[in-house]
Amino acid sequence: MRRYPARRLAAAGGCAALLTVAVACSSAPSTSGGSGGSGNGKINLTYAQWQTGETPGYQKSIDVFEKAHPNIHVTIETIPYNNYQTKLTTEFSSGGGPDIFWVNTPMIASWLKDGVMENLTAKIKAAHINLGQYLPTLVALHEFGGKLYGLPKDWDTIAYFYNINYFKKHHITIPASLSWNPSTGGSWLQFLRELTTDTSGHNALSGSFNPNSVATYGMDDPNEMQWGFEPYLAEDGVKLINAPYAKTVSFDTPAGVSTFQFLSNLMYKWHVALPGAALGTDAAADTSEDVQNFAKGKVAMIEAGDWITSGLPSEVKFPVGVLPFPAGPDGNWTVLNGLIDSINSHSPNQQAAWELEQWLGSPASEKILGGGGYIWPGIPSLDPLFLQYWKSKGIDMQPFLTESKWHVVYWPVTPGMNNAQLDIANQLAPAYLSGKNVAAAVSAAAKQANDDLASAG
Amino acid sequence: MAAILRSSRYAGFYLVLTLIALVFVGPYLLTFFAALKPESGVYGTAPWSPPHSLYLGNFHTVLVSDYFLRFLENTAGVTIVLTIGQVTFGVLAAYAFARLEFPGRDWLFSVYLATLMVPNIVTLVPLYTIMREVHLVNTYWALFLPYVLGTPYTIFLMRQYFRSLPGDIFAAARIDGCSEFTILTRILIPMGRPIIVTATLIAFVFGWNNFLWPLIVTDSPDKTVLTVGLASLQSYYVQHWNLVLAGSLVALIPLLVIFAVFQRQIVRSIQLSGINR
Repeated sequence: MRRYPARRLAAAGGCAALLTVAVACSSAPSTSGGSGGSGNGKINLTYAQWQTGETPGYQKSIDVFEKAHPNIHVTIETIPYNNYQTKLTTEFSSGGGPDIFWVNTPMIASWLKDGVMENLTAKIKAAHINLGQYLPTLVALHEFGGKLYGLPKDWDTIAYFYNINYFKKHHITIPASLSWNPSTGGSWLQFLRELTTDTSGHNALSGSFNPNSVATYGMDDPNEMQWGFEPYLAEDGVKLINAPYAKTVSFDTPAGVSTFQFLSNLMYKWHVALPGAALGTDAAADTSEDVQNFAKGKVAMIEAGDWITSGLPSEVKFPVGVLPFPAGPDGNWTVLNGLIDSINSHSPNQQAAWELEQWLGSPASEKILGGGGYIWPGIPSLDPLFLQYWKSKGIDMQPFLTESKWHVVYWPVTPGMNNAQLDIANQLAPAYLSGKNVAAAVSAAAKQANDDLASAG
Repeated sequence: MAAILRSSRYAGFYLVLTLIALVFVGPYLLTFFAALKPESGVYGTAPWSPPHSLYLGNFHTVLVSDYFLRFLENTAGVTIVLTIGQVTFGVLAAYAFARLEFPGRDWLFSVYLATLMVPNIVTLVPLYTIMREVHLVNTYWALFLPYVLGTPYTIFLMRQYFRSLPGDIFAAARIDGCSEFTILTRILIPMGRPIIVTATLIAFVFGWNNFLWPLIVTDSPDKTVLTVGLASLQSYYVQHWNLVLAGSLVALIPLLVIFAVFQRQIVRSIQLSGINR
């Protein structure tokens, strides 16, 4: 083997170090990502979001913004939702990240704790932005200790999409009001029995109904927080957490157990809801198993948020209608969620980002997005635009709007909830998949969630 | 009787093999079927039912979409640079670690090899911070710089192979007056071809499938690679499986071509490395 003296090696190492510095220094600065100008006098902003389907709508809105602000260029960055928080948190931790970004409710607590969301309260006041123009519950969702970290931009609620052809074929008339209770099931159970049919054409009200050979179930019952059990829990007087920033969950009460038992009974006792196994290994329908079963005619209705509407016309071959959530023992409740645009507190382009924030929260931008059927605008006076758009496509979205005026419950805001949400689904899965040991599963889910919240600090 | 027994044993053996093959081929077949169905077909029919007709709309939608070809171009470019860089620098490093003697060589190699034990996620934030400090975030440089100078795995693999070559050949070359460069190009590379092909394939597949780092370090669609672009079609709220699977099929083609062309070397590479990555 050839031997190399230490002096020669040191010289080689020095050359390598010099080369590395030269490469780094010769590189052009980044053209986006909160790093300032591009060299042509323009300010480059990055706007992060996760909804590919809404990107064209936002691009239309931003085109108008850029015309009015020729010195600002905005790049929309679409990030897969499952990696959204990981990517942004990594960037934030080194002082980077997009200048302005979407914030979903489960992300709020962690990012507030990290101090990455700019407190916009003073700016909103100074700019005389009328917060009264927004849906009050949406503003309340994003207000923490009297501070606002972004202007609301949209909202959603949970209802049932139904197969109009199936309803017509089986001569189903939708009752004026429907209600449920955990003991008898109420008129909701009767309605679901009428909807559920076996392969011989008997519905579940008939004595000849064969529960082992169901052709179409009345509904699906996903093991999912927002568009699964949370609306039912709320209508039975149960909250996932008692207040924002709670350190423990509060659904493991007798009422909570009886609500989950009711949902389980729909599947395994009364056979009117699709068994959990048809909604994936954790019964959570998190890869659109619900829409697949709906498209195949395995269920007559699916519980879902209005955000799936844009995909439905190409996913199913029948016209769809929307049914509001049935009333529960505690009345009419819905899960209301919405997003805000938040400004990165590390962004060097605070003023430009604030200009964009104001534009995206303005009636002019909301008109573009609502009128194009992309979102329910956060400004209620513009909601008819969204309604009109979908009416022209043959879908009456009024029930979602009606629900937004009901009592609302939010996605729980507290640090660690993102992990807790996954663990709750994992712990509840055995009960959703088998219909057995519901109380034990609820207790295990609460214990695991409490551990998650405790470890999040 | 013995013949019947042997035949039934073979039949059972092939049945098991067929079932195992189905498990591996199944996902690709379902991807192929779904890519040829309209969205309502993907949702409304069983995944294993073949498409009724040859529907090419998904490919059309994916290929004419604003950025898909750009994603493909970015992936191809970054993969080629990564592969050439990793193999070139990897050969140099492996040669040095295997055949040159200098102070601290083995210690340096051990330290370098130890980085193999560190999961990528651990270095993610520091690496991002470095890229940010040198203003390389959202550039092509950022996509390949962390990996272009070789990876511990391929350098380790090549070093072990180079060490197994007879030392007398190198000694003889030096006695004949060969420079290190001549030894490298005339002796080591020709003799190390199998392991170099293996390293090339590993680097190519790594570059093509890399997801997490490109996701973190790029911000704009013009720098996005295919894996990240495809994942964006699969949002938590709306999932266009028909487009995701058509896009995945297109993304798979170069890897299939590589496999078809280098089939023999790939099988040999598995024997050499003992690991199918």
